[in-house]
Amino acid sequence: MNSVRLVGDVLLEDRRSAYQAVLGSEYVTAAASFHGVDLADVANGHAGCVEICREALDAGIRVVAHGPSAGELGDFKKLLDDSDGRLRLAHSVRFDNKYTLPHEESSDRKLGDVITVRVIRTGSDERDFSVEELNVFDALLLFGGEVQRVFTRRNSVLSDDVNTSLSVIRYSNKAIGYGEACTAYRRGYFYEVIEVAATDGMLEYDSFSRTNRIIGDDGIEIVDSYHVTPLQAMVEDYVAHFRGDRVSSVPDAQTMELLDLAMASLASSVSPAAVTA
Amino acid sequence: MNRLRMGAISFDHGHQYGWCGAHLQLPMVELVAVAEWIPEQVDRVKSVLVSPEGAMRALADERQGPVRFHEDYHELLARDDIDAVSISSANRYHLEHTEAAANAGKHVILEKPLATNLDDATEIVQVCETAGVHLSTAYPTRFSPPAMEAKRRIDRGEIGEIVSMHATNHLRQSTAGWFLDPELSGGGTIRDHIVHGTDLMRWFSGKEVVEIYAEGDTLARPEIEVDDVAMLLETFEGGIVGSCDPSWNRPMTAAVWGDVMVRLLGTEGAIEFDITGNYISRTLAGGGQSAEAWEAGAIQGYITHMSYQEDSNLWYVKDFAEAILDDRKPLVDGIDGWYGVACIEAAYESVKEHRVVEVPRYPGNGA
Repeated sequence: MNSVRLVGDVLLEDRRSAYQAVLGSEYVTAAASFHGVDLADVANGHAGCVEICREALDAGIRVVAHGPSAGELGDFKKLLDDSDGRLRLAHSVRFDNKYTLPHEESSDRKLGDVITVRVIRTGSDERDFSVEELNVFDALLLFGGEVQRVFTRRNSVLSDDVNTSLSVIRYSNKAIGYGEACTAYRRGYFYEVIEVAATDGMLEYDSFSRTNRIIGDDGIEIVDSYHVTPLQAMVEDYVAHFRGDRVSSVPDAQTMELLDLAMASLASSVSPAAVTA
Repeated sequence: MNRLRMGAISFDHGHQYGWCGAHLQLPMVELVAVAEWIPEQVDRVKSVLVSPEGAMRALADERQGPVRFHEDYHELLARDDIDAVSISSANRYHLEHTEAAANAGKHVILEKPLATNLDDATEIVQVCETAGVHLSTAYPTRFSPPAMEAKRRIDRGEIGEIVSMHATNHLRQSTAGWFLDPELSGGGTIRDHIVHGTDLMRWFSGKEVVEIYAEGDTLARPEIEVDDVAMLLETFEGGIVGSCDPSWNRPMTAAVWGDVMVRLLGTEGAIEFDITGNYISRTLAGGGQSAEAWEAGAIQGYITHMSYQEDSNLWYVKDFAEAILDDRKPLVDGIDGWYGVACIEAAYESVKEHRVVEVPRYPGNGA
């Protein structure tokens, strides 16, 4: 990307080598401060995300956060409110063609009214669970719209930390959703399902076949959806937004809606009843 | 007795044809008579099964005699040359037909779900216990090749202790007839379709469902009178949380009728399969989930098992027949069906209340 230069990173050593392989080692240096940085990309999904974001905002720079931990949702929301537009949540699924393609297809109602949505993202602890959980909720909102109520069970599977979240949601338009985020599987494993069923057809993607399938009146159409990397599309969108070139394709209201759903889900996870989102 | 003599009562549910195919083919079973009284179904039953030239008669082995037809099922039950019956009537009539069969001393294969309410389900199980006949709930999905392969691998300890379970049992938006009459069916997709996935998860884990949260509604075809989409979270004994999606939400143009898909995560690996997916199951075995195991190179990747494409009805009826002949319980019994109904009732209550509902335990000792 010509308009963006990576000037420094605060990465774990094992991740730095991966970034160097992609970006070129000349761009990757350990950064001890935010000096010379316009935009910080905070990919820490564990507790501490909010603190890092606040520090960067206090240093006067802009921040993209990939996901606060569940315990930080309220603080993150407040930070977002107070950030004067300098803090944005990553929303990576909204820049991922696997997700945007079925969203476009379902938005124009060619397949009728959406009736069920299933989003599953299961992998290993190489992924940040908090980020995965937010990605699942974000996708559920993308396809089904406003949520009326949510019921969630979160637990720790083969780990001391919460790493599994199963949610059933009811949309305001009556459609039903299921979301599953899990990082308890073995390393190297990632299973992803996107399924939007409508009155006159459905859209599905799974990570085994790696294709989007549109099932309508004319049978099954298979669409290759790999054109751009989601992170690149997101960074382009956000940089343009920060520069004032154009408004981001992800309005702040969607971020607030996502955080509200995540907070309602968290509340329902210790409740015997669904919680209004 | 070295051969089980079967009667078939009612073809309301098309599964009866599958079972009759098994009755005709299996060497330890003979189909003696069939009973059907609904005019629209009588002709087909006669032409396919009773007529010597019937299409299904080609399946029969040489020992199979003529198949007698009865328009009154009581006449079939009064025959002394029948040991057991397969009943596939509309759900509402399961108690009536099972009670009559048990009182006539016939062992019973009963279509799922066992009943339209838990009281009927309890009575169905107990009337068979009292009569001393075996009752088997028709869950042939346990006998599908990938499910049997998964069970063998689980029992060998290949994935360790199960810690997470998920199942789907989708169907095209195709259900018709009495299934859409709430008086006859007792409900839609929750009544009809949570039982297979839930039963497989019970069977694989050896744990009962203790509570359920469910959402359900009529959305795919708003004009029908029963629910056609649903999503369930099921908490099993030991705190394992699983999911079950029974929705009749597939388009009519979908490549297959639906699925019965199961994903299991264990302490040492994972298994996933779909019985409609060319009978392929994938097993992630060995090494566990730990970073240490990964770094030690203990991960072996997928083991893909391709099973023979065999009819699960054959294996299901074979187990039932051998159980009767050997005087043992069938692999799927009435209590398994009772728990299916208990989960159905809990799910419907949860749909109304928007809260978790406890699943009761079977009140008797069970047999």
